[in-house]
Amino acid sequence: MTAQTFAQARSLIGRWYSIPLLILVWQLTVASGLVESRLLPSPGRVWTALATEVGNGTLIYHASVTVSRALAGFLLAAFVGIPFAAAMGRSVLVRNLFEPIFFIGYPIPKIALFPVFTYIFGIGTPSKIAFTFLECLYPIVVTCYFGFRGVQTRLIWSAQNCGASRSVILRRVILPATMPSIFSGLRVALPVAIIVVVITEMIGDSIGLGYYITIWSTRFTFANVYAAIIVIGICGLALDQALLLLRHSAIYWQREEA
Amino acid sequence: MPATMPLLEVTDLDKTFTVDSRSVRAIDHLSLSIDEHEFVSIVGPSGCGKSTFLHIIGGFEPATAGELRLSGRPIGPPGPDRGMMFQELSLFPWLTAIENVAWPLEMKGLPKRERTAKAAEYLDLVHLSRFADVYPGQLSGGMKQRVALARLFALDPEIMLMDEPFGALDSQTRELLQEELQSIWRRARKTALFVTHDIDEAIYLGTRVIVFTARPGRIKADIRIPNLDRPGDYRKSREYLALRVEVWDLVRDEVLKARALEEA
Amino acid sequence: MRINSASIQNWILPVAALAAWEILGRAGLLPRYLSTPSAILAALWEIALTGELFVALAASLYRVSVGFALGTAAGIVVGLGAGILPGVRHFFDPLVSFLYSIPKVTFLPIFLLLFGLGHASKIAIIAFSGFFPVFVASRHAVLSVDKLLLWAARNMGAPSRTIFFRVVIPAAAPQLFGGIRIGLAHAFVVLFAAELIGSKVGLGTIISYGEEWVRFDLMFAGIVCFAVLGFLSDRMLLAIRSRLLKGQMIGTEEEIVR
Repeated sequence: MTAQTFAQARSLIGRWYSIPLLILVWQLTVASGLVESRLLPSPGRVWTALATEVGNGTLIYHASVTVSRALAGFLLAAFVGIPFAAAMGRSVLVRNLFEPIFFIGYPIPKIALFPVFTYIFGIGTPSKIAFTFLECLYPIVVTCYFGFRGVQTRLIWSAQNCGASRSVILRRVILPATMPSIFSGLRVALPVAIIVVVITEMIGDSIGLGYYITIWSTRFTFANVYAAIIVIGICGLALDQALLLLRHSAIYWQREEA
Repeated sequence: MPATMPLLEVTDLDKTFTVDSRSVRAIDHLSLSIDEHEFVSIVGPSGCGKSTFLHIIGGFEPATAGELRLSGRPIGPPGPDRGMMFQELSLFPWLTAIENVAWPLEMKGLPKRERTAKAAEYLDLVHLSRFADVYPGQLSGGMKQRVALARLFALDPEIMLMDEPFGALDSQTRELLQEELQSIWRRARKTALFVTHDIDEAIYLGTRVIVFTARPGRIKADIRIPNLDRPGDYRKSREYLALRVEVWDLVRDEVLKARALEEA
Repeated sequence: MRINSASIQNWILPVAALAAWEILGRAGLLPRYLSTPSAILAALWEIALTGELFVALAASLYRVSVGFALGTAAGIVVGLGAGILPGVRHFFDPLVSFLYSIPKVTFLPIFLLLFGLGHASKIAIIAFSGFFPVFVASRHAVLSVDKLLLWAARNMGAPSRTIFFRVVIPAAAPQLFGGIRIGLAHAFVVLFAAELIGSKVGLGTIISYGEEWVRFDLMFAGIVCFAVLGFLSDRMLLAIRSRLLKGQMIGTEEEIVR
C-alpha cells in the first residue's frame, strides 16, 4: 500500500468509524445479556431477518407500498404547490387570501387532522396520499413562495429590455432563477412524505412499512422491526440521492454542497 | 534623526499557498521596515498578496519563511498589539454600536463604567454619538466602518492594520471617511499599515506609499511623502498630481501583468 | 392590526370556510363525522367543566415540554461540540445521517415496551426525535460562523472561552433557533402518534375516545386543542427568539414572516 492510499484509508476510517463501533457495542450489549434480548436482538439476528424478509419479498412489498404512497402525495404536492407558490409570489390578491393559511397554519401540527382524513377517504391508500399531499404542500409552497418573490428584479428588467414576452420571462428567467429554492423546498418535503406515510400506517392500516413495524411489535419479533427500520432508512437515503441527482442536472450552473 | 529601532521589521518574507495540489507563491522574499508614526499605504493590483501580507502580520496566517518582528519581538498569534480593521462584516451584529466599541476595552479588563465612558468618547471621535444604542443591522455601510474605526482606536494597538477598510463604500462616503481618518490620525500619529487598491486614497492618507508587484508579491517601489499637510485643496495640488502620475505608472504595469496571469 | 384591504383579504377564506362549515353542518348537508364549529365549542366547554380537558392538557403539555427540553438541550450541547471539535463531529456525523432519514416514530413500539404506557415513553421518544434537527442546526451554525468575527475577537485579545461563549454562541443563535423550531414541530407530531397509539391520558386519548364513542364533536375538540397547543408553543418560541436575538434580527427576512 502506498503512503497516499494508506492516508486515504485512515481518513475514511476516521470519518465513518462510529457505525461499525456502534454495531460492535450493540453485539456486545446483547451478548452480555444487559438488555433483554427480545427488545434488542443481536446484529446477526437482525441481518438474518432482513435477508429473509427481503428475500421472500415481504419487506419489498411493504416498502413499495409505503414509497409509492409517499411519492404520490409528494409529487401531487409539487405539481400543485409550485405553480401555486408562483401565483402567490406574483399576485397580491392570491398572496393576501392564502398567506394566513400557510404562515399561521405552518406551526399547527396537521397530523391532528389525520383522523378526519380517514373518515373522508377511508383507512387505505387514498387517505395516506391525501394527507401526505397536505403535509408536503406546506414546505413546498412556503419555500417556493420566497423563491419566486426573491427573483432579482434586475433579471426581469434585463429580459424585458430585450423584448421578451411574459411567458418567455416566466419560463426562461423566473423558473431557472427559482430552481434552487424549488429544490430546497422539495428536499425538505421528501423526508416529510416518508415520515408522514409511515406514521399514518402505524396509526391504522393493513399494509405498508408502518403497519409492518406495528404488527411485528405486537408479536414481539423485534428483529423484523429493526429490519424494517433499516429498510425505511435505505429508502429515504435512496430517494434523497435521486432528488439530488435531479437537482444536479436541473441546476447545471451551480455546484452546491449536498 | 536619532537611530531608533523600527517598529515593524519584516525580513525575507515568503508565503506559499497550496490550492488543489498546486502551489501558489503569494509573497516572494519581501523585506520592509516601518518606523513609528508612519502611515504606510500599500497599493497593488488585485491578487498581489497585499491582504495576505496584512493577515500574516496580524497573525491570522502563518508565514512560510522569513522573520517578522514588532518592537523587536517576534510576531505571534493574533492579539491586541496589532489591531486589525477589516473591509466589512466584523462588528458583532448582536451588540449595539457602543457595545461593539467597548468590547476591546472589556478584554483589556476595564470596569464597566469606565469602558462605557471611553467607548462613548471614541464613538464621538467618529461623530456617531447619536447612534450609540443602534445595532449594526440598522446602520449604513459607511457608519458601520466608522464604528469599526472607533473600535480600532479603542483597542489602542501598537500598530494599526487596515485591510481595504473603505473598499466596499461608495466614493463619496469614502472621501469623507478618508478626511475623517486623516484628521483623527494626525492627533496621535499611531503607526498604520493601510492596504488599498485606490491610489488616490493611498497618497492622500499616507506618509509613505509602497507599490506591490503582481503575484508573487514583491516591493516594486517605496515612495516617501515628506509633506504631511493635507489642506482642503490638497488633491488639486501639483505635488499630489505628480505623485499620482508616478504611482499610477508603476501600478499600471503590474495591473496588466496581473490581468495576464488571470487569463493564463 | 390595521384594517386595510390586505388584512380583510387575509381573513376572507378562513371566515368563509368556518361559516360554510357551520351552516352546511346545521343543515345536515355534511357527513356526521365533520360535526359543526358550534358543536365543537360546546364539547370543549363540556370537558372543560368536568375538568377532563385540563387533566389531558396537563399530561400532554408535561410530556411535550420535558421531552422537548431534553432533546433540545442534548442537541445543542452535542451539536455545538460537533461544530467545534472534529473528533466529536466525526463520531456523530455518520450516526446522525443514517438515523436522520428514519422517522423516529418507528421506534415508538420499542419505547412503549421499554418504558410502558405512561409519561416516560412519550418523553423519551419526543426527546429522541427532537435531538436530530437541533443537532444538525447547531453543528451547521457553529461551522458557518463568519471567520471575520472570530478573527476580530482574537485580534482584540479575547481568550478562547470568551470567544466560545460571547462570539460563537451569539453568532450561531439565529440558526440554532431555526433548528429548535423544527424540533418543536417534530415533538408535536411524535406526541400525537404516541398518544394515539399507546396512551391512557392526554389530548390524543380524548381524540381516540371521541372516535370510539362516535362523539365527533369531542374528537374535534381534542383536535382543536392539540392544534392550538402546537400553534401557541411555536408562537412562544418565536417570542423568546425575538427577545434573545432582538438586535440581530432587525431587517432580516425572519422578522417579516410573522
